[in-house]
Amino acid sequence: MSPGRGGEGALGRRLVGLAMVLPPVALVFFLVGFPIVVAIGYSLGHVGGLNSAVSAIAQHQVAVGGGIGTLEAYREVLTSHQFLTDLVATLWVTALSTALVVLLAWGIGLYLRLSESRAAKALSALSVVPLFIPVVIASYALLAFWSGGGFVRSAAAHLGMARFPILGYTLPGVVIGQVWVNLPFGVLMISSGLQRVPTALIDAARDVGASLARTTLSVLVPMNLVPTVIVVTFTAIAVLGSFTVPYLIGPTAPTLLGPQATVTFQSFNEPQQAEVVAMVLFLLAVGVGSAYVRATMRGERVPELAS
Amino acid sequence: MKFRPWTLAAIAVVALIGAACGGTGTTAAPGPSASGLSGSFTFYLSGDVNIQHLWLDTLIPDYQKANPGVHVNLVFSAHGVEDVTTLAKLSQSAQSGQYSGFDLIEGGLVKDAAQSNLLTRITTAEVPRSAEIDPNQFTAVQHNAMPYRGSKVLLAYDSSRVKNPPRTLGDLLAWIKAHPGLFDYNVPSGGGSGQAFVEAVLNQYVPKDDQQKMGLGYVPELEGEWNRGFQQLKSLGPDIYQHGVYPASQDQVYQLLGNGTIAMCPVWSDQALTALKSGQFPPTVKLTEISPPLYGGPAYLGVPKVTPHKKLVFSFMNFLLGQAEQVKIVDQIQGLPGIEMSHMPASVQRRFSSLGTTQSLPYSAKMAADLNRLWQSSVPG
Repeated sequence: MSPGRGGEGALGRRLVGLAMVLPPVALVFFLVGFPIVVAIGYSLGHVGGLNSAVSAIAQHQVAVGGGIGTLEAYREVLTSHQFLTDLVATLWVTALSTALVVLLAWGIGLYLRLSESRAAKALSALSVVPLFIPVVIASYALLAFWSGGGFVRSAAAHLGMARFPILGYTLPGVVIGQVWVNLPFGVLMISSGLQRVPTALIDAARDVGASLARTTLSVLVPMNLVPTVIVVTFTAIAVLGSFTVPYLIGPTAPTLLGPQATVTFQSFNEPQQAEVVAMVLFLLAVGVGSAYVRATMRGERVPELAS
Repeated sequence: MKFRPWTLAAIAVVALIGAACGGTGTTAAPGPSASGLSGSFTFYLSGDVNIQHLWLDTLIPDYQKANPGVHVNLVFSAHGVEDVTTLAKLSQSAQSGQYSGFDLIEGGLVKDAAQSNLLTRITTAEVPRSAEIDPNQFTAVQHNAMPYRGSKVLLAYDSSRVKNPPRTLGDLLAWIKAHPGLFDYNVPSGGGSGQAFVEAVLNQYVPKDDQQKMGLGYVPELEGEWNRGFQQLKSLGPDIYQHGVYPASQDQVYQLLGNGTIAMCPVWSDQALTALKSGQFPPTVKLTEISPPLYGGPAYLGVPKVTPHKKLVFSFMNFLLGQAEQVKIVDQIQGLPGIEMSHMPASVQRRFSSLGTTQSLPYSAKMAADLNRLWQSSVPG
């Protein structure tokens, strides 16, 4: 906006800007925002109006006539033993998967940055391959690979380890699946962040006698906090809300909250309780997302280093 | 902006192709058939892919060939993922009197819809050939739906590893304890074969009258009678495959039997016979009935209360009950016919004589939903 322009011109430009942004905002509001508000109302016990279709066939639901609503459905779900074990499982699987993805992505990114060999390039290309394989097929493949008669166990038996653990239908198997699915994004973000660090900085650190570990900790890590936070946030949210990997590879109980919400809705015919589980997931994701927003806002205030 | 001549030509060609492709989406309106019927209706199908192929490859094309003026729009929902929302639409439609968009439905939701009074009553007045169906098959749905094929859950076992298959439920449970890791069943919400096994174990401790009530209606106050059964299933856990792993779908259990990981599992008769035919099960796999029998049941077709195409739908249902179509159902998916065996050719009667004629009554849809929930919280883990 050039200063000193006439007031009418500025108002006209603002209106044009508003008109251009209105269609996508309206779309997001009506297709996403408004249904979420209606669903929150349903979880609080408002079973009439726009929720009357789904509440007509629901079993074990809590209904309230008017007013703000009731937390009875929340109390029922949040105190149930099954939900609590599922919540604990979801939290530790998410934390472990995210930690492993960050560690592996950093490892591959550093190897690619500090070594110009063909092996490094091949490794980073290989780590992006999971992006092109559909998750359902990957889940079945991982299940077969880690199952009782799968490749890993057969190879271990040949090497003399007869009692190698079976990871199919277990939560550690789910962690492996989640790492497999989320690693490509991590590698892409971290390695692109590391590539942007000027070689001059790394050389300067080495020249004053810093070891490789010290260089990494003092130069590379601080400059790549924002990509790391992005990877942590996106991976955590993806694993929190995931369905396919825990449904196909995971145990029946405890399972993650994604499959639990689905089975509550479809098989137990309890849409209201499923709504409560979805709200819990939503709040967890909001918590992770707010950490991301705070970190990126703080990151933007750091002045750019002169290259 | 000036367009180069070749750009304009390319755009014109693409537009022509687009118009031609768009035209094939709707069938050209042919003249009315010999029966005078014309129009189209929407058929909601929920189930497994073998049933989808039965309809798409055989039954619907046969009907459309016999009645060229009629077009059937098939809406398929794999494994019932859309069942809850469709049921909600039917419920709204029955309450408000407005057309729901569906004229015919098939799948697990039909029983629930019939028991909730959302469907049209089917008698010989609407579908004349329904007189050939065993009247007992209408009990569970109170004449609000029509069975057109059937299946039952049997026990499949690898005869090379199981020399004396169990004959009763008690024998089966003892066998599982004696051979840990060689039996498995799927999560009850993931398929009828696993659910049938769970219901059989629970029914050991439920009086016959209460079993009938659970099959025909919703009686949550009787669910306390399931406690002993669930405790028994939980104690069975360590002897189940991999110390208590219950796959999410019945297909995964069939694969375990097929590749020899387990030696016994419950199966649907039609899926088992198809698997034997296709080679998914090795020829050593045999089927047996146990006493009391695992549940079975007809697959029902339902007509929503509010639909403008009743005449077309009833003619379609009548067509399906003809002997020619019933034989095709038997051949293609190895299912039991909907009409009584006495109306089928002798070859079919011989083929199914070994499967036995008894089956238990499955629980109503709402009881089954509660069973799924209670199983999940009390048995695994």
